[in-house]
Amino acid sequence: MKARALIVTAMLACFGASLLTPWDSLASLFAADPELGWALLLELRLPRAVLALIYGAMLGAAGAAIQALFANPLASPDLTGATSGAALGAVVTAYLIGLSGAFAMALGAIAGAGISLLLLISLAGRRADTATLLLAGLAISALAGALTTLALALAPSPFAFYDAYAWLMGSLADRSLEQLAFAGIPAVVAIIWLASLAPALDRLALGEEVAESMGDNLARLRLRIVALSALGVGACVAICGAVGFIGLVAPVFARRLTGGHPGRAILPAALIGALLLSFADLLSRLAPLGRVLPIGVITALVGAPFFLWLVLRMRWRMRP
Amino acid sequence: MSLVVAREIALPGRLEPTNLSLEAGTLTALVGPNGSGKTSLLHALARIGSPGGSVIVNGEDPTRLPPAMRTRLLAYLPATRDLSWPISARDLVALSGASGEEIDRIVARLELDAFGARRADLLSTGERSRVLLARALAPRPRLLLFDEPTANLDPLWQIRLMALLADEVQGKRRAALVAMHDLDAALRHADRIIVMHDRRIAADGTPEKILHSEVITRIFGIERTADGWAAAAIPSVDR
Repeated sequence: MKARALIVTAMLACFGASLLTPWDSLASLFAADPELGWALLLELRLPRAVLALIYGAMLGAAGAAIQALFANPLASPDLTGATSGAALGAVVTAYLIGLSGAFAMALGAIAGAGISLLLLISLAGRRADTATLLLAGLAISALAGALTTLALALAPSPFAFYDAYAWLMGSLADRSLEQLAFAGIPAVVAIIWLASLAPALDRLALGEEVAESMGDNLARLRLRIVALSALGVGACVAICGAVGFIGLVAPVFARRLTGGHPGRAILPAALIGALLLSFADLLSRLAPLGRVLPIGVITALVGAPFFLWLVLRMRWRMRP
Repeated sequence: MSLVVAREIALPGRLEPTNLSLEAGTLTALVGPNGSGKTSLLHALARIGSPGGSVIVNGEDPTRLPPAMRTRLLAYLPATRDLSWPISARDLVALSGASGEEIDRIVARLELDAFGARRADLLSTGERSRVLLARALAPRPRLLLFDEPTANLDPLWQIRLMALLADEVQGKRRAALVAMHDLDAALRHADRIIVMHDRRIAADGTPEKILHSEVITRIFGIERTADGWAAAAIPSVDR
């Protein structure tokens, strides 16, 4: 409980920091034109800070649920191809079909993420070993990435590549309240619903047969997790682009708070994910490079070495 | 009426349905060559997959109960002992929904006190077996469906466990159906033996009757000699 309180506090601190730093935004509230200051705060800073919290929470919750489902700590929305599938879905909707509204793109991304996850389950099997899961996820990601590039190359708009690139790398900047709603509402619904599956996912830790003998309908559970992850992650990707590794990292820390229980780690993973993405967003704006870094770059720079460490630790543990 | 009544359940690869009932207070050994359908029968009784038909345990249909109550009606122990998550042994037992007292009782009976706080996924296979047995037994289910519970146990625990299982059901409104390969242990501990062959019940009766009939030689291709079991001299007709 103490640890969770700590996470929430840190999260709020990060939230506050992304709202108000750099300090000029706070100062502008008291400057000559306070109306402009409020507008700045409400229309630029608030959506950004809330998006960071919600997108991070969604990645954490989906990561924890997907890991519990595959009984594998190396699964996550990005490594299973759901994120790149969502990006492909959004790109096809926006550039090939020509529907670039937030709602249409969100629908396209949700469909893309769902198809990727279903493809993964049929390719890797339900209780996939790590190598199969990662290879199948890699193949799906690579295919979705190639198809995304192809879709952009075929797009009628000559600026498609440049446009899409900035968005694909992940950005929370300059999103409207409307866009916030399109990402946030599906994500919050998905997180709450996923959290309600925690007892069933904990029972799944005893193995699929035992869970079934206890009355859990695994086909339905699997479908729900795929649909909810696709819904939440898809909607967020459509609005904010692809952000990697949070879905992998957050559940690993969350399970340390839940005695290793994979299901009840979903909510703590959401909190930690929200904290991590808020922090990454803060870094992306405060990094002294003279320009704002795409947030996906920051999460990958920190997340990829962490992933390697996880793989090495597993290999070390399996050594006879 | 019998404690457990299974009607018209379908086993994979068999057209005609299987019927079976188990009496309260009995331990039934389920024997048969590899692939004869022992696990399929246990699955069907535990309502895993979609076996069709109906299973009534102590007057109740388990499929109508939520998980917390279903674990008090029946427990299934699979032959695999794999665990993926770093959950402590005691927490793993608690996933059965049993109360603290019930967990204490079974932890003491299976002598798990020493590693209750340790991560179950890092225990040895035999220790893990005992933790998973405790998980199944903790909520005192009416029907125990155990797939090779003594596999991976050391000789002392193989003996102890069968005695413990017999003791858990004797004189109570509980029944156990235990798939096993050790025919001598079946003879010693079981009240009844069901022999599976080719995905159907080939023989069913008291241990003395079954193990001394020609069924064993016909189905397993082994026979009793002065030194114990040996490969049968004459190839069996069915194999």
